[in-house]
Amino acid sequence: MTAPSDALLQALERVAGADALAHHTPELVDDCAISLTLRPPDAAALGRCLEVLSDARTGVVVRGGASRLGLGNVPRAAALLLDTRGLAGVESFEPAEGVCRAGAGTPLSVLREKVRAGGWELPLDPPGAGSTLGGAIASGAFGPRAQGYGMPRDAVLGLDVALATGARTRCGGRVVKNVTGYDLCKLYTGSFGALGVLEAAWLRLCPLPQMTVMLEARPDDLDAALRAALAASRRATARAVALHAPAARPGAPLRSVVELAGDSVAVEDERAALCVALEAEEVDPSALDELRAQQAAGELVVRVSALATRLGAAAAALRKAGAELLIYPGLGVLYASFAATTANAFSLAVDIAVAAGGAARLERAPAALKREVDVFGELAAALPLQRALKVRFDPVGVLNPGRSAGRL
Amino acid sequence: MPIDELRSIVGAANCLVSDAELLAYECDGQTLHASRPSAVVLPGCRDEVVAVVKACRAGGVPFVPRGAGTGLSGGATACDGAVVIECSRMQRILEVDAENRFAVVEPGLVNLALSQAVASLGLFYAPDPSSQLVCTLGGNIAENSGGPHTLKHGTTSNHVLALELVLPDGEVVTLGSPTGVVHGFDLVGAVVGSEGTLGVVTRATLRLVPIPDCVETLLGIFPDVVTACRAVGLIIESGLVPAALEVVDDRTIAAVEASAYAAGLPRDAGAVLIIELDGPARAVAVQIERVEALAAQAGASRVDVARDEAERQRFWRARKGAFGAMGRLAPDLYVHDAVVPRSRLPEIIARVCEIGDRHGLTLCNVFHAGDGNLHPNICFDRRNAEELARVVAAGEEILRACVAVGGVITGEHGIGSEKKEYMDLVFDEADLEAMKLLRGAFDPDGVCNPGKLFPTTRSCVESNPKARGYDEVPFA
Ligand SMILES: Cc1cc2nc3c(=O)[nH]c(=O)nc-3n(C[C@H](O)[C@H](O)[C@@H](O)COP(=O)(O)OP(=O)(O)OC[C@H]3O[C@@H](n4cnc5c(N)ncnc54)[C@H](O)[C@@H]3O)c2cc1C
Ligand SMILES: Cc1cc2nc3c(=O)[nH]c(=O)nc-3n(C[C@H](O)[C@H](O)[C@H](O)COP(=O)(O)OP(=O)(O)OC[C@H]3O[C@@H](n4cnc5c(N)ncnc54)[C@H](O)[C@@H]3O)c2cc1C
Repeated sequence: MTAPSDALLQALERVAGADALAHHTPELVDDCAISLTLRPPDAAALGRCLEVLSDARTGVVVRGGASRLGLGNVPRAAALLLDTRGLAGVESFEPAEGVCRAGAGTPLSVLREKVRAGGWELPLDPPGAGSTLGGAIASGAFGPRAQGYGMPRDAVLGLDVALATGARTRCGGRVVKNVTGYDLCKLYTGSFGALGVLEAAWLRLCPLPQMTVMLEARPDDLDAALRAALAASRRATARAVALHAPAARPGAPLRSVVELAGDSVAVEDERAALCVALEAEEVDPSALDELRAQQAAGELVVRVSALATRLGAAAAALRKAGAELLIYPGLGVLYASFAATTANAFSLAVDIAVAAGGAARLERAPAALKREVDVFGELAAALPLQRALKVRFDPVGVLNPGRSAGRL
Repeated sequence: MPIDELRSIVGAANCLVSDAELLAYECDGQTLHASRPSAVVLPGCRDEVVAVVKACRAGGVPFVPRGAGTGLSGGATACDGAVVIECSRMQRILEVDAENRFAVVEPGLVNLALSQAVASLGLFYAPDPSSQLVCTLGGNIAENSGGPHTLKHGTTSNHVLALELVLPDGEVVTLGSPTGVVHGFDLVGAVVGSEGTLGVVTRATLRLVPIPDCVETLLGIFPDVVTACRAVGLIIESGLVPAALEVVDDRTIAAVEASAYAAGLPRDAGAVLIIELDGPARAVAVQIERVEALAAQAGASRVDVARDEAERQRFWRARKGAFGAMGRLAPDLYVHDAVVPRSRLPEIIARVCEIGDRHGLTLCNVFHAGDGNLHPNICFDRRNAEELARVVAAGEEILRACVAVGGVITGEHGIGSEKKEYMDLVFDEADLEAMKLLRGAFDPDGVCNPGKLFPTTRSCVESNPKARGYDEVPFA
């Protein structure tokens, strides 16, 4: 990677302060080694930095907690990391309203604790201690609890966004219902930082449940277990359902975990019913996090979405191909981990996902393999629109260049 | 104007051009921004929509998608001599997948028809605008419509999984997936609520949800509307999520009770609050007790629980008959729409009434209180220019008051022609420029539903790509 010119560094120091730039030993984003990090101290400085970067036509990799910086295509040309963690802090939390506002660099764990103390739950699932609010929204990250929480897109009420040009903008608002202008919040959520850098967000919170219960079963037949798990996920209080299937080998046990959350009487009733239906028993609340740790395990991990009724067929086909599976039946999503890192495994997963009415995304793979395929798989129909958006929001390719679907 | 070509595409019977025919299309439910289209076409299928769009492009004429015309912000009004593409003939349900809980429909299908069609499967389509007997799903998608049950079940945006869209250049794209898992930029999310400015929706895959085990409807009687709003605040703060929380004020009650919609409400009630709870029966039973306690704490004089379906319908009649009842008070009804943080409802509702009174207007409130979504309705006669000026002035004051407490200028009816000049109460130039970037990606020439959403006081012309350096971009 060509190093940024001295003139650029001076300009960045001028607008963000000398402390904002740090040289360090190279950090790898895929196979791209970056040894310079720019950390604007506040949103105004972030805007000024982007203006400078835009003028210099210099690409950056936007970085929050860096818990999933590998997700995306290989960066095309990134001279530095743009660290958002200077934009941290819970700026507003209103227990009477069930909404809060925080800087994009705020760790999710901090925000979660803060609202929990006031009787509310942060409806964003990523547990990763280092994950930031901005990173979770930008990557549209959801885990098994999205079943109860809803998707990140449902939680975001408003965003402050610095565009690639440095223009600082707002969209949405702080109220729970709003159609004032285009819903750009939806566009930025899940855009992996390709369209703008999130500065801060207003979120809608969920009430804390009166009662939470974790159940676990050890079924032995994948197809039957999946069917049972899907039925469980359709219960009113099912907040998360996850089914883990190790790579197929005789006698390898499956694990099925169900988290119920809601009004006490409803949870009690459904616990009783599910303990019978799934032959499950109550376990420690950590069971779910333990299970989902498998999601990121493996050298090559693919996320496959599927229609509920075709999830079983997709799971069987992937397992036959040697994958270890973590399935979220109620969300129509599974993560398949392969021991061998071949492009074939991904293209097979793409085919399986398409046959199941969904799509596949390469979550994790060595950079060499990622250079051979688009990690977002097939997006043919919508690609011209995706490109038109990228070109307009980021005309000179400052933000995560090359990383979006279609290598935009 | 390519009239002959339009006729040959949709058939003469489905191409309206006479003055008498076009009169009905001068406006939607918002009558103050009338403008006559140059023609109205009623395509019968996607391919006809494509052909119409291409003919309009070739003829240099803009076009406007339209559903049932019940919109309340002038969204379906034809600016700049546009051709109206009315989707009402495209009203088939193409697929119902009960197991995967979605339906694929054409845009002209009436909202309620979908819920009726899937009821036997134990499912329904959740967004329920009060106009659901007539409004179309295409219109709902364009406006991101809500309804009384949005509080728990979400707005239209939460229920659209995939869309087929005819782009302004006549290309057809499919966005999203019936799995609901977004892949790439969330284009479905961007199109929902885009007020018909990004293309014509020709097919939609919509989420269906199971009919809840148990639904209970409560009617809280309050001494005044401020107290009712206080109860709403206590309920939200408690963490309860009712299916609906609707406030009807004394002025509306009086109008309803004097009309054919009379629901037997106590005439001396200062306001009523309709509370609907749904979910597992045992949980709902406990929630009823919690709601009763909170309502009493706020100052309710009484809370009744509907004993049967007939009584439940009667409670709702107060809400659903409100527009019809108010229609009897004056020739015109201005249905306003704004949102405030829910905890600010008590002060803002007092302020709204004060504004109406000060301008000497008949103003009634019936609204989605749980979402903080106000609907101050002003009865007036638009032939009275002086009264009309007061209506407009009061409306603007209300919007400003809502924005001042952190609210926005529309929660479900959209900006359209009606509120575009108020966009700058909420957004600055840079914010609007970002919205134009989205517009430009779909409709670079601004031919799809022009004259909406963006203020005209500033340049409404799409930004010139050259000026932004798009010719030099590294993507080709
Ligand atoms: C143990 C563990 C479990 C996880 N489980 C899940 C899961 O179940 N489902 C799931 O989807 N993810 C999961 N994740 C992934 C991760 O938590 C999320 O993707 C997200 O929270 C990343 O946040 P981050 O701050 O680390 O972002 P980063 O990794 O720093 O960045 C992620 C992406 O967002 C962009 N970005 C970051 N900040 C901003 C900003 N302010 N503005 C614009 N773009 C920005 C980056 O450029 C990058 O493209 C898990 C991670 C861990 C460690
Ligand atoms: C009595 C009454 C009560 C109402 N109650 C509510 C309520 O509770 N909640 C609520 O949200 N709204 C309500 N409304 C407003 C209105 O009914 C909604 O906005 C509705 O969604 C409009 O649907 P329509 O079919 O009438 O659309 P139209 O008015 O015909 O069009 C509305 C917008 O949709 C666009 N459009 C229509 N079809 C398409 C298509 N196929 N592709 C792209 N764009 C398209 C148009 O261009 C226009 O911008 C109410 C209206 C009335 C008159």
